Amino acid sequence: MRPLARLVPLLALVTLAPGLAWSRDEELLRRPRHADPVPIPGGFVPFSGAPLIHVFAPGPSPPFMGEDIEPSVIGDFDGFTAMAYLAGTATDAGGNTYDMQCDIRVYRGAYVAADGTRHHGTFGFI
Amino acid sequence: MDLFEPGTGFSVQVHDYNPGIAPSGLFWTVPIPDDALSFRGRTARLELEDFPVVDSRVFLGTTEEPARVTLDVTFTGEGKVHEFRSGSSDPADPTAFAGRFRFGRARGRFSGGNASGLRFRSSVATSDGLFAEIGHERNGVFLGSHGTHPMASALEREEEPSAVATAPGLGLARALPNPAIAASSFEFTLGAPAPVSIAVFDPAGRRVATILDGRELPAGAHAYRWDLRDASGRRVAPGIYLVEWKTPGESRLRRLAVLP
Repeated sequence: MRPLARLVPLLALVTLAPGLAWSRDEELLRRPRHADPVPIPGGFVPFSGAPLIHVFAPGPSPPFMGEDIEPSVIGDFDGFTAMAYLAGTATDAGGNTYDMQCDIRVYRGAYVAADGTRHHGTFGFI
Repeated sequence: MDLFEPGTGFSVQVHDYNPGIAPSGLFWTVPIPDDALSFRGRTARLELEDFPVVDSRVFLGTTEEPARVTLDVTFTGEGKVHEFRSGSSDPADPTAFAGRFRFGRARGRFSGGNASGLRFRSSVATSDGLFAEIGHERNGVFLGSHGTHPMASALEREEEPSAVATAPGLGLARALPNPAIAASSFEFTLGAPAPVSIAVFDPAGRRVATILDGRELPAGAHAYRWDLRDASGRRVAPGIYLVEWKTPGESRLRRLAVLP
């Protein structure tokens, strides 16, 4: 594993920041679980012993699974979906460089939660 | 987002910034604020700032630590509409959905850091040579319906879909660098000319600096530098500050950490 960037003690201030300031994101994360969406039933097991990952990989095959493949990870869903695979590079504070790859998706629409109730929400697959 | 040893063909993963796995089994998917997603024509933009995730270091690894990420990704649909009809009655089948999508492209910037002190910032990442799509879909219990989201029809029109476009106004707003030691640049975009105010407040809500006070600015990208000094010219104390961008009818708040 690449050595991590040097720890800068002053950045502890930033680590503490979430506890000092109001965060709407964290409020969303604390939303009652009964309103959570459910995953799509399908998915894949990436290696022996790993859990079933409820996600598919749309896109031209190979290397992806095909263009007519489900892009949503949310089941019982009706709404807007955008997804993309992105590649680039990243640099840390120590000047170390990395190859970066992302599978970013965003969803907005109606969904049925595990308890059968219907909701509307916006979700990020990040 | 995933960081890899350079030149390893995305095989040696060293950081894996993702949200957790929900008790329901939903992977890496979290509720986000509605205003984190905006639309303009066939383009959707996802903006998240300082969002809490987990750095698991390696894919599905056991070494986890708190992390936060900031991202700004634009998805643009191009070309014809592809209509997908459900290809299976088995809900676990990857074709068991229906939808109308445009393929296209995406680009974005990312930054973040973990509790160990690692901070990273990306170049402009693109979907070039990979894949992106944008559209409307339904699955599960909604498969028998006709779809309800306004983007469904907007994506099929050739003209700008005003029904889903955001009002021209304040777009991306961020402070860079953050944390700041000597200065920070307050970057933002305007969809249309507007008077803009930018101010900095301490955690008690006291205004410590006024960067702009209703200055009329043209549409486009703007940046104004703050030298971390208050109205009397003194360098502000280290701590967490709030930066507010305001236009008529809109405002954005961002946290800014000032270091000693």
